[in-house]
Amino acid sequence: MRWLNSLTICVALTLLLGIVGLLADLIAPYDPLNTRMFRGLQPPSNVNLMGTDQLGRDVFSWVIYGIRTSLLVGLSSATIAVAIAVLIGLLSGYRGGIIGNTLMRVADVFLSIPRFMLIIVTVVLLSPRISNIILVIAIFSWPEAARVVRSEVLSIKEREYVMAAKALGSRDLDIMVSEILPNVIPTILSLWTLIIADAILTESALGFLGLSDLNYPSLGVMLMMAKNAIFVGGWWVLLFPSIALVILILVFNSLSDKLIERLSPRLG
Amino acid sequence: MRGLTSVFYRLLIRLILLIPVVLAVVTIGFILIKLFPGDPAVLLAGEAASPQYIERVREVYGLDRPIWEQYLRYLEKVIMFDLGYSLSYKRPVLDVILTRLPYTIILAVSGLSIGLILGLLLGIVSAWYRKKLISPIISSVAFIFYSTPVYVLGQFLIYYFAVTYRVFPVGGVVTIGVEHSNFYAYILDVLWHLTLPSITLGLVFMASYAKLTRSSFLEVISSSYFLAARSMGLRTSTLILKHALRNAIIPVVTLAGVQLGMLIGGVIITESMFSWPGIGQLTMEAVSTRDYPLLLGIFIFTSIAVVVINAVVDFIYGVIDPRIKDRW
Repeated sequence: MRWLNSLTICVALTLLLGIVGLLADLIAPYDPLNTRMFRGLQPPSNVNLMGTDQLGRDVFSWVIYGIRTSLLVGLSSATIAVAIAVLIGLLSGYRGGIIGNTLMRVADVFLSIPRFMLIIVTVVLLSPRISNIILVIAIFSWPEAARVVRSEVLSIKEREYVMAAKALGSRDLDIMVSEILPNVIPTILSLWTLIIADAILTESALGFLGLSDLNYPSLGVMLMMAKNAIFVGGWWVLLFPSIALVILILVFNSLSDKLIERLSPRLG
Repeated sequence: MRGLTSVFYRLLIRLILLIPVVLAVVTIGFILIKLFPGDPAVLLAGEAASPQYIERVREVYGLDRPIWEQYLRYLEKVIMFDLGYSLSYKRPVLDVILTRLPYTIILAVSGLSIGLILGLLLGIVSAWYRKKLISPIISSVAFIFYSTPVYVLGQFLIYYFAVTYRVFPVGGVVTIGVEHSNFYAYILDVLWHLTLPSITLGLVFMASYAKLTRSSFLEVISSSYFLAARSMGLRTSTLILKHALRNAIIPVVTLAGVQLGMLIGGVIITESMFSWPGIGQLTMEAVSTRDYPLLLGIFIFTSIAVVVINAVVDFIYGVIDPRIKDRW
């Protein structure tokens, strides 16, 4: 598995997945939401590359659009989560104070209760629209990242160059933005990709439990179909979405590993 | 004797310090009720409730009162262990949860144990033979398992072991329609049904334990006391089991405690996949029947349970291993 360990290949795979997601309309031969009952559970063939599910939906098209949905949810919720985490981590790491410390206590509470349960309850109460799913995953994903950012900031702010900037009379905001933030960026990038992987996992898990936006094909929903399909021999409904999902999560997880190794060797 | 009293006091303080967290959990529950786009009385009564019942719930929770009074009433109810009434079960929510709890505990404990044992084994092997080919292989396998969702893994296990080869049952707790001749036959049947779900859960958690065991084991075997033990010419098995494992295991077991919250997520999916009638399946039943009081009750119950168990586990580590500083 050495090939997976190289950052270049991870980036290349990410770009490839991104292109698949962007060009889903061109790649997918059918409308994934289109059901044709009379063509239910067809094995892979020239007509349906990855077969069809019980409702006659084309698995290949579903997988292509599923990758798009995964990336949409993963990227947007991770970006929101990291933005919150950086703000709070910087604030509480550099300034401390009542607000900073209170926010960290809030983070601790979120870290100590079962996250997936909270996500399920919130999504059910708010109805599983795609915007709700993205927001809910984002809101419950920032605490761990904020902790990491905070501990980085705590160690960086004791460095000489920060002291120097302080001695020269820089304002706190300037120090935070131009002295501390650039040094946290490797960590932030690594956290970002890690949260993307986690958000993709959460989104598909919600889909598997039947909590997904019906307008956005989710890999989890096809895996829910697989639950019954495998009993009547429909292995293709399970196999292909699983491969797509594992590759997605694997790529972003290793991207996170590689980024932290490459960008800040002292942590690797 | 004095040591014992001080331990008792430390535990007491630890538990008192949990009160803010429990309050926070209840507050989150209250905020969720307020976030509900519809009528909160419908939420607290359940969607299938009659208009009269909804009116009664409105009165009991003071939903026509100012918001702080609503909050206090809600808080009071939760503190008195009143999690509301489940319409789909026609019983108090807490009752419903408690009847399902043993199944979840059995599944969680066996899954966690399998994960720990496999993770420790793989971690030790890959640290001990770190210069052999097996080490990167184990790391890669662990990494792939780490990135595999629990329901992908579980469905492949079902496909191979329950559908294709029929070695294990597809789901449930006991074989339906079978009279068990004695108690042992019953236990065996339960264990047979428990195998696939607990392996599913275990394999998912194996990866992170393997990774941590490897690094903590490597740290131990490069220490000077381990070198001393080694230079005495002890057998490899003694070295690993008595001298290295004892010290390397501490962070791994701590991680197992910390991951309790994550375990709940895995349990929900595993239970609904294998029709294992624990809290996780109950959650999904509450979702599909729109039994909101039950859903909120499960959330508050599991959150508080996880928080309390974490604190107790953390405390026990502190007592067993004095090097772990008390952080309260």
